[in-house]
Amino acid sequence: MLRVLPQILAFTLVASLTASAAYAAQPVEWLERMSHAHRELSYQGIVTHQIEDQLASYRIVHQVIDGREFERLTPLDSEGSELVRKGHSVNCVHPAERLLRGVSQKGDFARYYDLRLEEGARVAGRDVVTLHIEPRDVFRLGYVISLDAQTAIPLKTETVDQRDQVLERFQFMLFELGVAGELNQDDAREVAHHNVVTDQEGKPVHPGLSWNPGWVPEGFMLADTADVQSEALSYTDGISMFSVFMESANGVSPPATAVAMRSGATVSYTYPIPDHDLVATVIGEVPLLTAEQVAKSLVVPQ
Amino acid sequence: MSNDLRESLSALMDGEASELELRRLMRDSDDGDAAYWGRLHRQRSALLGEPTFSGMDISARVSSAIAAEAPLALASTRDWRKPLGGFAVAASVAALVVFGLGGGSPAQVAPQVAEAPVVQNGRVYLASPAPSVAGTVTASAAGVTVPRYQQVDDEQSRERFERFLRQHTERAALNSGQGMVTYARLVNHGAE
Repeated sequence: MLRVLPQILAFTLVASLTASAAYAAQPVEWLERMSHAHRELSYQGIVTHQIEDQLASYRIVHQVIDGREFERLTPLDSEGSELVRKGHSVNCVHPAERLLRGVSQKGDFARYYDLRLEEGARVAGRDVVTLHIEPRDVFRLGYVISLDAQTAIPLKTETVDQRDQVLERFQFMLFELGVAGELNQDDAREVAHHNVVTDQEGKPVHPGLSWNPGWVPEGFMLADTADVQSEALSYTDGISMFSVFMESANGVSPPATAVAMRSGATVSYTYPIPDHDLVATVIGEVPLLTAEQVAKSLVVPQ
Repeated sequence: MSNDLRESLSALMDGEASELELRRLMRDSDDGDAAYWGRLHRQRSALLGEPTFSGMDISARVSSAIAAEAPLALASTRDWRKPLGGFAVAASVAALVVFGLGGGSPAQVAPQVAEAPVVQNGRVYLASPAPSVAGTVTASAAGVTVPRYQQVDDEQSRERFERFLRQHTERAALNSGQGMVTYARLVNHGAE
């Protein structure tokens, strides 16, 4: 009993601190917490992914072991195999996180999105605050994210188009903090990690690519660059992301015309550039308009 | 008819009407104005020695054609294009030209666009002052065809989509504030 008491006291203290912080927090502060909370804590649960009338559920386990992330995603209603991921050190700050971490000071995010906070709902049996992220221009999608009031981990995320139609929904049915036992790390897949090269002013530069987009929507910065697998550039504005892939037209029998596809919130726009025997594909969680404009702005040197 | 309207009509014929004047004309003009407009044209044609079409007024025909037309094909476009608002529509129009060069199917071009040159004629503006009709006229006059996208479901496009979705998701999982949950996009898609 004597050993347990201090722990209870400490827990109560922490809980009351976070509770009071939650009460006073601004929308941007929630956004900031969200950007790293899901990586730093260990949790598990059942999560569903919904596109239109299709619903699929997964068991997810996220564990931080010695400051490093491990994750496992197991499909519960399909034959697909589980995916185990060995992540980065939780101290490694990714580009979108970097954009969001300074958000309450810099206010850049507020130039592209309106933020609104709503309290009083529950998801997976837990109290949440709901963050409405509404785009201020036509180049981004909107988000309605219900964050766990205690940890700021997103328990429900709806991606909505410019007409407020829900394109895709992730939602926890069951969420538990803490994970008993350890993930089997043997099958863990290492997450590729590319450093974004920056120039002296801190602006990202593209290493060794002959092409680049002539236009991306304001507020999007380079998040990831080419790897051994492909010629690609990825951009993020902190919450939305799209990637540009370039492949040689030789051997892939390119489409004669531009092709647009969609799955949930993800659209792709494939754009043949016959003069250079190239095929560009822009894919991401953005409106098709954005994908199309980026594809058509691509600058390929002679 | 007020003198103001007359002056505006004259200005319009000389190509000097401002947009404001044009709007006012479209709002306030009536059949009498249309007749006056026709007279002005006949006078000018006579002065310039051009052949005249004195008795001809196609405005009624064009109006009824417009009324009978299906609400401009934009309405039947894929729904996820529609909500983007005025600026976006303009942007997709500009882009559409490039799209056509890429070998888009000509069959997808809205047939009613053929009417556009007739509709552009100044008389029509006056004869069809209802704002909604005017809106339609402007849209087709600007050459708005249906910004339709080819809905492809061939194996190769699907394969490309999945391959790039996979690579994109690897990157996005680190940058969406959501973590591994976003991988569900892949699994779900593959399981369809």
